[in-house]
Amino acid sequence: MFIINISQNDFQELVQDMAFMLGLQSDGQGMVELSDPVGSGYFRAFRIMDGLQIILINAVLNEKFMVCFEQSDENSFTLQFEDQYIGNSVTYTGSKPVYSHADFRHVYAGLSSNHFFNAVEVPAGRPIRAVRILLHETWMKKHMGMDEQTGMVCRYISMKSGDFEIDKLDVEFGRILDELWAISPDDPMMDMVIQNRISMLIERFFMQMKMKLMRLKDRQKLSGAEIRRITEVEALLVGNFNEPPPSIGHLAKIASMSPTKLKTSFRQIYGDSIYAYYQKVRLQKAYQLLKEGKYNVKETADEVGFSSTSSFIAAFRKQFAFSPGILAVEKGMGRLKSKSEAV
Amino acid sequence: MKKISIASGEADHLSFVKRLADSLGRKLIDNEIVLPEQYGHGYLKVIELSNGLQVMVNEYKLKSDVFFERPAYTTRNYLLRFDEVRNVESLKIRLEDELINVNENYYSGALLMCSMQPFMYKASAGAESRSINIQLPEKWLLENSGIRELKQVLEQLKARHNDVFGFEVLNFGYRDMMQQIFDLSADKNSCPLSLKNRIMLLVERFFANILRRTVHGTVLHDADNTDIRTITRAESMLVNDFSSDPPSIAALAKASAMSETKFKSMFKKAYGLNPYEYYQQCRMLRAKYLLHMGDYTVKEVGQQLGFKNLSNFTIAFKKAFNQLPSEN
Repeated sequence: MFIINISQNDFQELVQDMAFMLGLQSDGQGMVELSDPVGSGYFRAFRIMDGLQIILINAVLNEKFMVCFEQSDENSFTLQFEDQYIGNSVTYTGSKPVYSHADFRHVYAGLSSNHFFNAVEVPAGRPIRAVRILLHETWMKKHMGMDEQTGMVCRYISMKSGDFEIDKLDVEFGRILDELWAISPDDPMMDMVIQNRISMLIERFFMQMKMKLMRLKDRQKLSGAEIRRITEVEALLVGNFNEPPPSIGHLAKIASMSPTKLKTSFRQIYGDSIYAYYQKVRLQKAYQLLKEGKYNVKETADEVGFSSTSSFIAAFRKQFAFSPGILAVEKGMGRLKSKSEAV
Repeated sequence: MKKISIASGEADHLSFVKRLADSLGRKLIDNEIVLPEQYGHGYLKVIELSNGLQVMVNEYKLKSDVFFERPAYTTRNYLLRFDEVRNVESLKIRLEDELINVNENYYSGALLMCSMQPFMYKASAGAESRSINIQLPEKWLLENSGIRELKQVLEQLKARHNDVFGFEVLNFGYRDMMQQIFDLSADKNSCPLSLKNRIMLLVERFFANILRRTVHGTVLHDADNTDIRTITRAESMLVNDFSSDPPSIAALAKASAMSETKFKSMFKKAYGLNPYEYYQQCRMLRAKYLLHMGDYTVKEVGQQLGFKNLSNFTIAFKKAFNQLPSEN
């Protein structure tokens, strides 16, 4: 298996790094064609007009492959579309580790904060088709308009809560993706068609996100004050890992709401249950600590409040699909960027 | 007759509407001019897209005859216009030599033209016009549009003496997109990205068609082809009202002063489908649009589009879009 650690501020650089690590040639413009023994297909990174960075992947790899995206600018986000068919599932790890195999065409979209560590595992021998878009918060504010729902999307996004997923995308998404994959490199309209399709994917994603948030809001309206109190709860929850997390009852008191209301409201805002969120954030921190190389696995487990190393290792593996030892082994090697290991 | 003359100046839309506002004695608010009462009812508006393009959108109904002229610009820009004009007794749009002279009551079409030509427009009272006019600087077309091989096409087209080319009939695909653009531009809260995407899709569709035809040899130049214009009028009759049965082919052919055979073959040439298939697709697109607006139930939309029973509507919709109307 290949593991590649990459920073995701510059997609063109990222693709070149990947090409280098896989022993492939890049054309210097962000296009990498895969050949044996690595696989077939292509990775292509480029910018579109409004400065967005894009990676298109349409490839089959011969060897299992894992890309770890490092934490980067906390105001940037990755919008990812995957298009897969029966038996072709790409397993995702990271904050949402399990993604079940689809038995028909499955189009999935997710927006994740680059504030968090994010890993993609690509199994061998299966076609992957994906679009990855690097978005900055300021870009979204500028291009999405400023109505009430957009304000809601922006507030949601500024919570940096990790993920927002839209599963079971409608046929329209499928149609746009079909047009994206179908365009021939010989077509003089290729670049314009690609730009337009990507722009439509972004638009549609945010429209659906708005609708989903509106439905949530209708179901349970949260006042500005409630949202503020919940963010206070969040700060308290992940503020200090040296002590056991506050109980739900205690947090509910701080939020001046019932435990049930707190639980549903928390999930509404942060997308995870209180405990899952706590776990996610402390494992992110653990990842960071291991990367810095100051602590070994046992010390890291202590730092983020695990009472036993083995339960830490188990939780870490569950989250990131590899053991924390891999990072500890690399400690002292400085930044992991552009370093790969055959494991 | 109201006369509007615009002084020479910068070639971009925004400078243009500023000068137009001055000469009409109107204020420009949010890049929009509301037409003075004595001219008619409606607006002209310039939208600046995030990719730097400027688009002029207008919808108006004239109250008096209007004569408008502007001198040639000195910088080379291309203007991609999508127009739909109704109820005209007389409409003349003149570039260097007279190009469009409509004495019928309907004109619609897409045109790419060069801004270095003087422009003259004369329309009679009662005319209803809706148009989208996208300004495409030559530099943008060649360097940023993402269209290759355009240089050659533009050279070839530039060589034509009248500098207007690539006439396209507005089929339902264009028309649907135009409707969405009018709706979005009227909505102050609309998402700028949605508007930009619709405009760029218009540009894409137009150039894809132009390139396809250029590759196949000659560039069609049908703007003054009377047959084509007659067909566009018949098309507007066909898709004007979905609540009752469509006019028969015989009636359309008669209105176009053609034989049925000629009418059918001309229609297919212009719109790529036979009249009934075209009607059906158009109707379904309308259904999708109405459902998307969310103001009507599935049943109401079916009724508005002349379906006598709901299951026929559902089946037709499913066939057209591979999804149920209720999923929209």
